[in-house]
Amino acid sequence: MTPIPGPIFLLALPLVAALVTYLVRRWEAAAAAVSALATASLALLCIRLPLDRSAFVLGQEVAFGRPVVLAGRTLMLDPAGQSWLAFLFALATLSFLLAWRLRQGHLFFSISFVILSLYVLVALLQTFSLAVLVLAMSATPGVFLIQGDRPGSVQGGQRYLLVTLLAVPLLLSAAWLVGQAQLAPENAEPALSAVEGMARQALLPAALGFGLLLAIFPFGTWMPALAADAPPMASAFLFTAGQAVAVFPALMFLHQATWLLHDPATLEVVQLAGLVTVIAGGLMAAVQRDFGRLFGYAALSDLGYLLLAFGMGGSQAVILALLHMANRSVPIVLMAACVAVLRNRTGSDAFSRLRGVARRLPIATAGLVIGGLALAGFPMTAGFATHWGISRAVASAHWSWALLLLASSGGIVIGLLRGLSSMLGEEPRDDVTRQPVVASVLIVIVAGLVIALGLYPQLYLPPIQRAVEAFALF
Amino acid sequence: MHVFSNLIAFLTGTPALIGLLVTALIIFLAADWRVALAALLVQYILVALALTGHVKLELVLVKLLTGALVTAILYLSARRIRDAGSSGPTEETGPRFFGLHLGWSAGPLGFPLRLLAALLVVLTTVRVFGHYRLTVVPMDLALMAFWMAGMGMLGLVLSGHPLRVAVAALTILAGFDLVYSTLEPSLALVGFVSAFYLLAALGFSYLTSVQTLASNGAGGEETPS
Repeated sequence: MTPIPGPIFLLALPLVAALVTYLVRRWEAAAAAVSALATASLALLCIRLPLDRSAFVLGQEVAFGRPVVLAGRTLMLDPAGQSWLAFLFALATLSFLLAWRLRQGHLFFSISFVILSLYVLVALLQTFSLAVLVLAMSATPGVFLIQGDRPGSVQGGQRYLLVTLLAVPLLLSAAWLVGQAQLAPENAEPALSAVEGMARQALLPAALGFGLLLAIFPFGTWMPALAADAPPMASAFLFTAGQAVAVFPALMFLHQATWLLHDPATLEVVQLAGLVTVIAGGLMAAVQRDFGRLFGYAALSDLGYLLLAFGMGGSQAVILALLHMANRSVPIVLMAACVAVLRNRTGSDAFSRLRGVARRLPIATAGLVIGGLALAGFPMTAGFATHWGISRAVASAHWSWALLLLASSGGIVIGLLRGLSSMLGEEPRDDVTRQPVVASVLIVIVAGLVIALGLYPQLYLPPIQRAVEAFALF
Repeated sequence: MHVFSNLIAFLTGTPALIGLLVTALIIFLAADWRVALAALLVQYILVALALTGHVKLELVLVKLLTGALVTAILYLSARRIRDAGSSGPTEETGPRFFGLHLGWSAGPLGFPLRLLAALLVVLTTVRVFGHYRLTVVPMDLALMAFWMAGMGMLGLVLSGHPLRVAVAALTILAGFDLVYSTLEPSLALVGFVSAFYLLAALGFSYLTSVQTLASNGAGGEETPS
């Protein structure tokens, strides 16, 4: 019997899971169980199955590394895609488990699977332009996820759709320019400057396009808008899985234009964009009046570190950036789950309406503090090791930047303290029901994971190193 | 048949480009959503006509079909919310001609200011194309693409309602398509781009419905006009 090619298996399973979870959408426990089981199995398969030979899965032979040609395009799982998908599916498992007791809209599970199948396609496509288009297509189901069951504000969803949409022409133009530069004959001396010129022309659309996709300041305003409007776990899904998938085409692009990684001016600009993002997020976090927006700005500020790491140049810097991307996911999910508990129990996450809530919801309050501190890079939390590593490297070149990074972390902590002081008020809150047991247990586990990652930050290092080697950027 | 092909050949030249100039302007200035959507449909037809000399006919047909479907998706959702009884204050009170709203307000700026903003785009376009050097894209197509992108950006900046934002964003994408199709005429890519446009239209259509539902619940804050 012919083994099933891995790409077909990886694309079909999320779509089947989307259908099943749609059918059982009224029974949230069943939908959450099916979703978590499906994504956990897929994550396990991505980690365990070899790419160079076939293996048996439930009695069926699967050739994970075998390429498939669809409509003239090759779909193939390479080691980089394998690591990426393992991370995405593991992250989705965590989100689905938390969404079990924290209602995120009755189509949360099925739409998330549709988005996941598109993300799988991004990792399988070997062409940058098509990967960008598929990633942009995922914004539409993303809008459905963001709105959840709310007929309220559409600002978050609209901004998210718009920035993704506007990134497409820019990135396709950049890809075309880089492609033209590669087509030019290498040894033709007079053509060399023209080739370089064309490749340099690609820099501006690429920077703007990835700026939009990755929500770099000033294009990142959709993040706080999303965090304020959307169901928190949906926001967390797009801040973590969505942005991780956006990094994948960025690395594909760099693979085609490796000269960018050796150009000091480009790296300096990337670092500057990262610094501005960190500072803007931190400053804005300090003055927020609700936990939703505070969460959005803290996540935005933390995203800036990713750019700071990329801007350092070299393979170690890319590894550090990707390690930061993986480590930040857990505190983001934790904070989102806690905001969801607050909204679920009090109907709001505004500081003014949370007076005295800490006594009724101590675990959600503690989770918010731990998640927020991790996003600020506090010691003993998941964010510390990479924040420290990146800040040290930045300080060696510009010591004043390190002070700005510290001030930005201070901004997130100030925002958290303002919210916490409101929650710790003496007012009796008999209107707030007691904390949800299952959700609280899950929050404790995720908070434990945030602290564990603070103690063992290298937990994800081996698959990340494999992914960076597979991209062959250096 | 010969007359028909001659007519098409004539239309693919300057008339198509002038048409694109006018439709982008109408999309930006029109107060009535039906006029804006009709202009968008005409714009897609004109883009297809302008591309006939540069790409294969089957690709042109795919683009034409995509444009028609995109407009239909947006029209159906706008029509549905109107049928649900959520027409806005501007539509109720403004002057009408053949049932179309002729009021001057569309978004936060009145007609004179929008016209002034459009004039700024004209000046920018003239300034930029005074020094046009790119040889890979014909100048007329590049000029129209720039104009459409400019008008679309203005529309995005000055609009809040999802339907108006959708039309502005799709104008930008149509302008980009005008140039990109001549550079990358691969069928697979055109297919993916078309699927992307359709999904984008679906997303905006959903947001339009949700926004209107919310407005109805809150006593009608903002509706497409």
